[in-house]
Amino acid sequence: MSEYDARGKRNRALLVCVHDYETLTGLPAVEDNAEELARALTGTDLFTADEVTLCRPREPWEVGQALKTAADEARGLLLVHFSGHGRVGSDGGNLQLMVGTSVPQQSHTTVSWQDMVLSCLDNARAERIVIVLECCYSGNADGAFHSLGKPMSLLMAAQPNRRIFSGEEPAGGTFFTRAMVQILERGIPGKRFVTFEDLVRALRERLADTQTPMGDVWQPRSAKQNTVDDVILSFATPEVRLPTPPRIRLRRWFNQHIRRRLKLLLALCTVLALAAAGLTALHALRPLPACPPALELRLLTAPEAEPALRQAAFDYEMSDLNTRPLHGESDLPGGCRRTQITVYSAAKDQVDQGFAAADRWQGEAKGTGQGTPDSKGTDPLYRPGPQPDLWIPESTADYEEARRGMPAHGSPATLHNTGPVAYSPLVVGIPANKRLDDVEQVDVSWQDLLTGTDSAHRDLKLLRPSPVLSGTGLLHTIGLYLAGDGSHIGSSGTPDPTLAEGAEQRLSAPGSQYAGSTELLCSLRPGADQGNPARPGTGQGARSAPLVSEKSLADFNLGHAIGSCPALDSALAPGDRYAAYYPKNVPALDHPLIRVDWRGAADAAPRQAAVDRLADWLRDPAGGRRTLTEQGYRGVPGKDGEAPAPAPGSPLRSSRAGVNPDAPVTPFRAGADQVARVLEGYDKAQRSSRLLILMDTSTSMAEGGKLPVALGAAGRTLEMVGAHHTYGLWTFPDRAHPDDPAAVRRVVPLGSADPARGKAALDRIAKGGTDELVDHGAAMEEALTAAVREMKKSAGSNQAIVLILDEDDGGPRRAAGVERALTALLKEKPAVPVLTLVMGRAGCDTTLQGLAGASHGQCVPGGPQAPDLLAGLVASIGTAGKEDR
Amino acid sequence: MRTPRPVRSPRPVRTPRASLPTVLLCLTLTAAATGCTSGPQPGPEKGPIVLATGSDLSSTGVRQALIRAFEKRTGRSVRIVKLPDTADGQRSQLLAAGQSGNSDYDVLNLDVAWTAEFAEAGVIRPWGTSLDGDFLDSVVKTVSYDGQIWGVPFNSDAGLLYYRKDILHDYGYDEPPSNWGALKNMAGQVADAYNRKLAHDGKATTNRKMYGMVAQLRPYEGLTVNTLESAWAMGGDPDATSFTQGEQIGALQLGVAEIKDRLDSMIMPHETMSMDETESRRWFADGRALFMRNWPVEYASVAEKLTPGTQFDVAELPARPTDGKRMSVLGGQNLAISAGSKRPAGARALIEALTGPGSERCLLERGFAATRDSAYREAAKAPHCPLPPERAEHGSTGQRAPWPGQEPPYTRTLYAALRAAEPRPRSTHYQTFSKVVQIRVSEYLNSRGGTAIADALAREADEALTGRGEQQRTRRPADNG
Repeated sequence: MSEYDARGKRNRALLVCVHDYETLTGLPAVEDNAEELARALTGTDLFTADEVTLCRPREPWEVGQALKTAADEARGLLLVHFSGHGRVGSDGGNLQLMVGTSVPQQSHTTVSWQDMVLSCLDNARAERIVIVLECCYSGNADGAFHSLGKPMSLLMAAQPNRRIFSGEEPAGGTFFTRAMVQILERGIPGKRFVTFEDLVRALRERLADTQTPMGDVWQPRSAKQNTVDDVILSFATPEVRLPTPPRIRLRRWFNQHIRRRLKLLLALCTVLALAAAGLTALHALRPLPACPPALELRLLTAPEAEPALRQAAFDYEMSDLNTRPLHGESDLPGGCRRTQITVYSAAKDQVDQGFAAADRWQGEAKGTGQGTPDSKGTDPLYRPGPQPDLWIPESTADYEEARRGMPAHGSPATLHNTGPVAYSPLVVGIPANKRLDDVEQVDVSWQDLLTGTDSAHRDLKLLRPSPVLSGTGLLHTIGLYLAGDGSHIGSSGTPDPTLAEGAEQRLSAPGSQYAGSTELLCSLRPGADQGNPARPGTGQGARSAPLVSEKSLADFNLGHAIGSCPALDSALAPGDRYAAYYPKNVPALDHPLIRVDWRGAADAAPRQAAVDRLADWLRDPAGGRRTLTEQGYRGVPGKDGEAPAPAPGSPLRSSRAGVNPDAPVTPFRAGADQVARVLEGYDKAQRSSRLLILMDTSTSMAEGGKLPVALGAAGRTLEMVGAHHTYGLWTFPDRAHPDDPAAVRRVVPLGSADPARGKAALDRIAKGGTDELVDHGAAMEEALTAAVREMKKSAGSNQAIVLILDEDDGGPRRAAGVERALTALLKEKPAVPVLTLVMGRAGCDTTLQGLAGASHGQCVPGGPQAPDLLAGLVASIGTAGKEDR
Repeated sequence: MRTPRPVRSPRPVRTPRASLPTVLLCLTLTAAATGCTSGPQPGPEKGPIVLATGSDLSSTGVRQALIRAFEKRTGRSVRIVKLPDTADGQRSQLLAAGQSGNSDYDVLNLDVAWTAEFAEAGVIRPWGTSLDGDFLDSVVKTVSYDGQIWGVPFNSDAGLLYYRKDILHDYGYDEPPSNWGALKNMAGQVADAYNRKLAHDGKATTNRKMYGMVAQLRPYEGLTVNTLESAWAMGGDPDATSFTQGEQIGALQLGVAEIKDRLDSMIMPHETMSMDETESRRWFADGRALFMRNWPVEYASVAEKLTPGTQFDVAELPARPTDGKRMSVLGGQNLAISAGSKRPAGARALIEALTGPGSERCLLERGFAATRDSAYREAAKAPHCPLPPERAEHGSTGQRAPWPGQEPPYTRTLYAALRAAEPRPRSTHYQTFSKVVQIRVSEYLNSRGGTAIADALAREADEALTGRGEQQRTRRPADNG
């Protein structure tokens, strides 16, 4: 048998060692395996130090990325080693390798031997592949292994269906690895090198006296596929060592010094030759064949990230890379663009509902109408919109939450987390002229921030986007609850209910939240509420401290377009800016890229390949990473594992941005359970609240597409009704009392907890069209007076009225003093904020602005953003804040 | 059972031109089977006809009333699938689902700009080789691609010039400007004089300052539309397939520079760069601009704040100086049969009913731009709208559409504008072209000074329209056997 000698070739070794587990027993001895093995592999001529990669993964995607890189780069020998826990299914098949956050029986949290490892290695360009598996049930890896087409050798630490006792040995690595290292470092008497077969034989001899937990002899197994050669793994020998042959030295020298330049030379020659050939042939050329439409990719993200990702997607579309063939696509004329990308966004809760009802999403998209509508009447195809091929939420917490809402089996959508594409640390914006005394801006504990902003100190109103609607809001809540004292968020901490309650006490008054961080900042822009009645503004910028991301705060300070606020001519005046304070150990937004596979897609292969290529490009320092950092994000770490500092051109470097580009990026480490517990804590900290939806159903609503928007907004409001929140739905005018302008129809009485009733009523109006609408003009002020009187009967402070109207038709017949009485009533305690959505052409006129102001509510004009804007305001009705701070 | 279609192949069926007798025979058979007066014959088609559309058809309104009338008349039910609420989202979903072979829709309500792409992607099937001569010629172009007809125009649209009749009159102008140059002079001069008067009267505030003009320059499809109209006004040819060849060189450059000039000279406010249709209409209706380019659908909204015919009026867009043509971009929607439809006869019957002469007249009366010539005839000679009249509201101040049961006041102007209007580039890669325009023009308009991006813009626009990267466009790809 001949021996394959990889010396001097481009070899790679990937050593995956997992010792720290969140839900499984730790394996402390595995920690040393990586260094021990690396030393043994680089000890002789085979691997150089830069050809060995150590990987200690916490998430499955980290293994995927490392495997892909190694498989792409290796041309000679590729060695992959895994030590850690392994699990199999009840039938002994489907070996799963466990990484730090893996949970048994949750396959999306583990690394599939067959689907991830083998399928990735099958694309490798190496001449030989050697795999070493040191985990329980490693002997079960054999079956799937034989389906591949590459020359591979596999060493399995245990025989089939056996576990191994190992992992708690003292320093120096596990028993098995230590034995392997010794053989590779010392060599075998009488032999000039150690081959794969030699290694297996020697290991068996060493382990002959050792037993598995089942009581039989511990016997490593091996397998070979598509090769009869043996592979040399070490040139260590107890005998006299022969010098490295000149041929090998020459090859290595060539590889290290010439190859790169040779490539350049070759490329130059090729370009010249092509150019010459092109010039001569130019006259004979016919027009190029037409390009068919490119593959359409649907990219779903959060509203905050949409503009930056839109720019990145465009850059990719027009890049040269996008004209290269994709795996699995049919024949296309050369040079055609392969993919085109549509970027769109939706609020977090709608994305969650969409994935939870993926069967309905698919059913509506197919036109079969399959998939059962839930009580909320979710219509995912309408919102969030298209079925995404890839989803980039603001943080991994959003992904965990969406996963939690999906059925365990049978969903037509499968989510694959491929890891982060861009970071932005979370910050608290403190008005520039109210900087906190004795508090550092970076690495300050949340506790100190809460104290520094309280009424005894700077007296600032903390404003947070809704944790239900926004990823930034959710991650800030996780930071507040779990890293409140500045401690590191482990994977198993539980939020302290009193801490949650305390934090929520400080957060915002009813009606002051926003659906997202950019809309929140837009409302705080100086002058946002003046000059343009269409734009809601609070005029409270100087008294507020928004909880947002570093990127959005920089955009705000620099006067960039933000939310629905257009770009300004220049940065804000220094006194109008916010200074970014970075709460300690709060994880940064990490924007993971989730590939979504839909069952039954005929073009699944090219679609997946297209998403994967885009994902790689987005992380490429010369590709998407540059676009995203130019927009104010922090880049993902490169191959060296170092998080790159913002480039000189980054807006974060501007002295006017108010941020600190040297502030660290804390990666997201919380477990799925913690996300759930934080949301539970948030929910518990909510006070019970009461909501009255008062809706204009006069016939004028039917014109100009107003009714669907109004019904959509009312429906969106109903989605905010939760366990602690009751509601009522009243409509006006009342058909039964044409002469009483104050008459309202109590479609759903106040105090109802079941959103289905309200939803059914709205559906009736939608389906009935004009028949459900009432022919006499809507007298808004009278109806509103009736509603406010009813609400004020209760002493509770967490209540609000959502008023949805076309326009007030009651003016001409109105008795004198109605408006004055209403305004006075609104100012009485307890406060009942009126949140108004106006569909009519006049928008938020002075009357409506006045009523909203008197009640500490807000007025929002109709438009595509209106339902979400309203939902954000409604979401905070139950926040246990002190009202009217 | 659905036949799987080849993935991403260009159009699945590419029949050679059929002989005349075959066409006649087919037409006769189709007419017999689905003639719109007799309704579809009870055939083997099962289940409701599935119509996929944006949200505007799924609730109230004239287009939904027409669908309900079809159901009542034929006994066939129509299921409306509500697509994403943005046009980009609708296109993306329909195209991607079509490419994945995943759609069982029967009728698609498509934006007029998508025909070429959907035809090439095999998402819709050909309708025939010609349409009834009653459809406006300009509008028929939006369903024509590669020698075939791919759908039927449902409702159209053309840009109009809204102007403040009262103020122009006060400063000595009784007619709207005839060409773009005149508009610029008039806008600058009248706005200046008006603002001076405000200042003199002590009424000048930021909110009351009068600007010359507003339009849609936010980076979305509206910006592409305004850019194309400006390029055409500078001599651009709507039928050209390249912006870097022949007489087209420079048209795009001049068009974009013209828009920037209106911004730099403060004829248009800075805020125009974040305006869409609604925002610009609000600005005009609030009395803050003398002119506005917008669609007729905003007429009623403006009329609620300004008196039509007295305070404001509409005209065709100004003419281009060289040949006097007044070219607007055509908007609107077409109905097409989905390639995967299992109920093609029902789909055809529904489309014919929705686009028949009576239906088009209904659309016109209820504020849409009809696609048939006959709809624009005088009321007595026009086809009769079969829908019952809308109920009038009796509320004290409740306003109905200002023109119950008759044609809207802008109808003659719109008719002329529609006939002169032109479709956007009919390319498989229109969407990419539009993205290039939105991103590059927006960058340029936001830049200070006159940085010339226009060459790069024209080159990138060409690159977008060919579907190829830059290097590949100029050389033949290596033949790899």
